[in-house]
Amino acid sequence: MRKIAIDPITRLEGHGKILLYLDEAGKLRDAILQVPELRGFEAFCRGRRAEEMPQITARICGVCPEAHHLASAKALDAAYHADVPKPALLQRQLLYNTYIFSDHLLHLVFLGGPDLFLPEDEGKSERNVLGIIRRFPELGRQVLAVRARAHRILEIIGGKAIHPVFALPGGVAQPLPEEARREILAAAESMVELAKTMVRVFHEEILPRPGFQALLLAEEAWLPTHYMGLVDEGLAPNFYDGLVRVLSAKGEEIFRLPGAAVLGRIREHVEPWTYVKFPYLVDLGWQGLRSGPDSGIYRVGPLARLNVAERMATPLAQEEYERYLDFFGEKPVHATFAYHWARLVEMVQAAECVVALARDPELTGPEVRAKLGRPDEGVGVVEAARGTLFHHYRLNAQGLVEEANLIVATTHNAPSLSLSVKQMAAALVERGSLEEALLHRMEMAFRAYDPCLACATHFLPGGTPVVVEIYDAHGNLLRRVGA
Amino acid sequence: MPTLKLAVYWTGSCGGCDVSFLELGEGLLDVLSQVEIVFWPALIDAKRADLAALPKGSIDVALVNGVLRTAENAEMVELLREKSRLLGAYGACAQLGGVPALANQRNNVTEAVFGPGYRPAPPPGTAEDAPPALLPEALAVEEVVPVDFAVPGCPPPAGLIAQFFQAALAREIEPGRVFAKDKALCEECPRVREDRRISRIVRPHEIRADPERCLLDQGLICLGPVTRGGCAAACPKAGMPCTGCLGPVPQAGDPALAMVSALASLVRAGEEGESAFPEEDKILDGLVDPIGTLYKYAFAKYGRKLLRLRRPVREEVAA
Repeated sequence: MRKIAIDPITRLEGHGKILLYLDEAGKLRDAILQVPELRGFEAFCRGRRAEEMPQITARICGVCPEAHHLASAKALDAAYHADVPKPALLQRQLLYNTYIFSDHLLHLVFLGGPDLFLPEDEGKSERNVLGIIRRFPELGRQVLAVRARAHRILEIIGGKAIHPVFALPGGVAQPLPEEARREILAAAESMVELAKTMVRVFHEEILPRPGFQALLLAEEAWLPTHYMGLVDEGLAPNFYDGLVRVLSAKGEEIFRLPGAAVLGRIREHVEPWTYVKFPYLVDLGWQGLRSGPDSGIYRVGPLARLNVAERMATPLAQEEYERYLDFFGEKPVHATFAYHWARLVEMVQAAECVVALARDPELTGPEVRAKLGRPDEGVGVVEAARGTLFHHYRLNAQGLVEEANLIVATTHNAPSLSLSVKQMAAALVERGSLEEALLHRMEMAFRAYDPCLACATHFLPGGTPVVVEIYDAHGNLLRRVGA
Repeated sequence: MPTLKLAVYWTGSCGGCDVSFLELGEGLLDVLSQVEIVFWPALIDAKRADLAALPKGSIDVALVNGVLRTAENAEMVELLREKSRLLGAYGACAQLGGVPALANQRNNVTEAVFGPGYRPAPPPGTAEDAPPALLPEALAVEEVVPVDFAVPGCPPPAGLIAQFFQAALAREIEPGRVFAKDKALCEECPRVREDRRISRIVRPHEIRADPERCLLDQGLICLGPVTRGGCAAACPKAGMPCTGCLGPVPQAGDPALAMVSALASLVRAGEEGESAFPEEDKILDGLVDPIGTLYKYAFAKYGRKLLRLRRPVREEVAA
């Protein structure tokens, strides 16, 4: 048996490892994604003050702290039986849509960007964000300037741009001053402009490339799974709130339920060889790491959200959604590389939502805190940039945490991430192409999910960000590629 | 002057420290043009083997962010220490243990997360590749290797990052330097302090804090008096108490003990003399989860002493 270790293929919260096992005939026997990091938030959240949870859980991820901050706040709203007043709700939604915009932008340009903007045969030294800036200097400048303005919004509302502090059970810390709204609105309008530019560049420069279309439709990146995401009453994606809708691999609704009811429909499978758990739909059960309509495995994130939705919530996003559906011709879209395009559609919706929220007269209202009831148990759900995020707390009468259970976006996708990599590796092993192409394609498949800081390697010039070690059946190192 | 050779590494980290460099905005491009990055997994492709191949002391400055949680984390900082002339703790986790070090209050993180009896093991059909074992406790970097300086914060604010790069590029980092103010956060807080008498400890969600007055005056546990300045009092300005991410002021030592001592002198039940004590004790009972509140970012560095103190008492009880 040969072993191929790719370490680190991703910086999923810092660390991640992919292991491929080949049999004597050189065929792929197995592929696994191993997460060797564990910080144990669920363990040390016990005993903490409830109102600290939005800040403590933000430390799970410094790339998407807003998602944990608000999933946590929503779990506390529920636990304290609080009805969040409109101005507080608008502040939260405004921050949240800004975060989605900014996070998607980061991925589309900085992290996944090179896979989109640059042809696959582009030299290694150019396959990074500086390469993109050299090729698209105008766009590069606009991206940096608008990202800074979006972060200013996060800072105005959140108190800090990374690890916000503003949300409390039943509302937010303080009302938003009128002059802050003016600054936010101006920044939001620049976000919509950039979103439009990104759409134009995508259709003029990226989509027409035959290589990119081949990637979107590639068989080895076509993974039929079920899909999960939050939708509003009109079945448009809503990042902050709504019902959790799960659609089967065949496009039928499995359920549409409030977050608290969904937890009974998901279970987590534990394996001793990784510190990530594998969630699955209870209705279908855990049948090992495999895809298809009978498996319990589902996906979350931009691709999933556009699959469970029937329309987008805003006009420009709706236009782009229609172009997206026209291209694939059917729903659900199972193409793993469609994640990038779906991300673009969502980025447009987020920017349009921020403008609408910034114009809402109630945004600056003084009433930002609800009356709190006696604390007990609560579930909070949001759509993090990477997918559905659940926080579930049980509080004691003193408002201290007795139990915390968190199911994070990348965890939902952990089984599919493994499957996507396995699929890609199997196809490449079949073609006898084990070197650069393997590295590059597998990395791209992985990066499509945007698993946190995955493959941030593209920031600056450098080689391929993965190492592949190929071992013979006796565990001797035969070849080392990519280092 | 030759280009500064820089390394940045993350251990048990949320990634926020790495993202924080982006907060420099266009200033980052400026900095990057003056440094040679020899190792930085978030940015460039350099592997552990590349780091191991470098001569001793060949990195000018290494920054470590994150808590030390696995055996692999500890090995990596030892390797970085060997290769670097100066090694700094970047962010609260590396400097003090950070939020994840609150896990030290309890035992066996893996069992708490995965259920009783859980032991990491290799994938099926193989004898190796088990995930790395966790260290018995989460550690700050200085508990494993000597640390020359710190850039504190969760994550470090842009202003302090800029100060660090200025000093690093000028080759002017003195040993033991902490890139934050020596004075307390209160000194840069715009809120107005008044009588500083606390008759009730309240929690942030229990009151609507007055926007102008000192939060501690209003009964909120704000760690401003024992925490370094350097963030322009970001949290108090946002209506929330300081929770101490920049670490204790030099004269405070253990931040929790310093804060308890500060609180003890602020709490007034309205009475004088011995009869006041029981009432004042009752007020201090309002300080729930003292460890999570007072050691939120500093439990690895300061909490261990507390745990050692506690251990003999437990043994006595058992005997």
